[in-house]
Amino acid sequence: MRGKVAIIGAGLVKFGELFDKSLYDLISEAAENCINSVDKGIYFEKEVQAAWIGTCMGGISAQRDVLSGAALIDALPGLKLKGVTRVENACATGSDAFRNAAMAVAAGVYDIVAAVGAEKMREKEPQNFLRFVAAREQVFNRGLIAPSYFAMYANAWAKKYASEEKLREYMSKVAVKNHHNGTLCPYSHFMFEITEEQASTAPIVSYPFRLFDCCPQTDGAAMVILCKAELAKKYTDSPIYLLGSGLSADVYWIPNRQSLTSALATVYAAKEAYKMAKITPNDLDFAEVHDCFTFTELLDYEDLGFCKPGEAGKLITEGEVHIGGRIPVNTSGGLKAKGHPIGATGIGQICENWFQLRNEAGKRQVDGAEIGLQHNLGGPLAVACVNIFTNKKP
Amino acid sequence: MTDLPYVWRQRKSYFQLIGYKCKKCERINYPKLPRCIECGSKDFEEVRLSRTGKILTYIVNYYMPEEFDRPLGQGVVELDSGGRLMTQFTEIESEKDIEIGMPVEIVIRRMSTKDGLNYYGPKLRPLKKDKQ
Repeated sequence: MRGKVAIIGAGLVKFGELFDKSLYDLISEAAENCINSVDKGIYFEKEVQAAWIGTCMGGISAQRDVLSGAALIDALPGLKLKGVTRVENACATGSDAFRNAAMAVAAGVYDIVAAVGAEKMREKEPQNFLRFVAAREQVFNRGLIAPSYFAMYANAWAKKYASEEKLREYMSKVAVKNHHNGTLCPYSHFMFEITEEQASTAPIVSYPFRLFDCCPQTDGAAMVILCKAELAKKYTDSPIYLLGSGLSADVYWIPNRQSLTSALATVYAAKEAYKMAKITPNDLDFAEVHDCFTFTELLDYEDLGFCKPGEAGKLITEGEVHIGGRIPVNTSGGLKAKGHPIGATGIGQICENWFQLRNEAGKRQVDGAEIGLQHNLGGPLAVACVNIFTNKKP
Repeated sequence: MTDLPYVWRQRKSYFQLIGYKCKKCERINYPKLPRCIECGSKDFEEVRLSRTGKILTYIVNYYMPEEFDRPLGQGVVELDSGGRLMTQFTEIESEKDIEIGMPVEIVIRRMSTKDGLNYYGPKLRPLKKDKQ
């Protein structure tokens, strides 16, 4: 698949609490921004042959309809009677929808397709959201909620590599960095700075996570248009190319996992993506990684190979992951500040790759960026997807 | 959501602490899955797991669905017999009462109260050092 697929357009909505917009309104708005971003124009209705819609809870999160591919037609009538597939793969939903779209193009089944991600997160009662993750048979009645799973890894990591105090310090630094980056990104849900003290004294949600360690419930939508690499220049002089892609699923039940200090799904997805891309983590100029919780970002540094296991604290303390550092992470604000509308999250991260690799990221631009990465981890810590992009034709 | 069939299917794991030892690779599976998570075999032997073990990791939840008590500690325990559980703590007040490596015993306690029904299951109770 390396170098066979290009992105020729990308667009998203400003993430946030969007009570005045339906799922369909969000998709329509993201699609319009995406189509308008195609430099030389595209006749969407005629040229796009198929689409993938990534939505995790979709209708369920708004407690309305069951979503199928047909849901996309209501927002994008230009796709009427074409092949539309709905993808749901926990927090990797958006990135996996993109991956499936890319595989169809790489396989030669289609020339031009769209990958869409969308989610309404704010219209479900928080109580029901808390229950949603806890309802699985093996974990039934334990009272485990989304932060619980990641927090289990956080405490195990702190015990093995640092201390509870050091972990607290590192997590607060991640929160401060991502909130700052969020203020530089016009698509971010949160656009305010916080201090380390605020982060480390906020109410506890799931120990050791406090309020500012957790991503918000956010509505959003994003879309990209993909095509066969040879066709890309017809639509733009600055396409970005898919360099590598990887997906991995681990066992669901945490006690059955081999490690409680490393998300092996991320490790394996990254391994597959780096191998396909023929690069090492050192070749990356920036990365958009899954920071559903501040600790998750620390874990990602290690699992994605930005540093050795146990050394994540050094990266955030020494500013290597800040804009201007060795490998800026989550220039968009990440899930922490930009938001985590599940299906839209992954595609939104791909949009950030698009902006960075086309030198369109404004105040948060990484100078001379040529290779970027996008990563999601969910399920919880059981499913990971990694996609790597470049602006140079491979 | 109908909860009772869940509990019914897992009743041996829940109330008798029965684990499923793989006859091929000897991995103890808990709770039951259709195949051994290690080697994929379907050939299990039922074994009664020990009621004591050590904490591998833990968390304490302060925001929970209303059917649960708060704050609610949860942990992953490695049982002395082999086999791992992930479930709620009992008799703890905050994260200060828990540490990795501490010994616990498994006791049956109320897990939640929903629609007027009490749901019971295995919980982790910290063992005093002098009881070891």
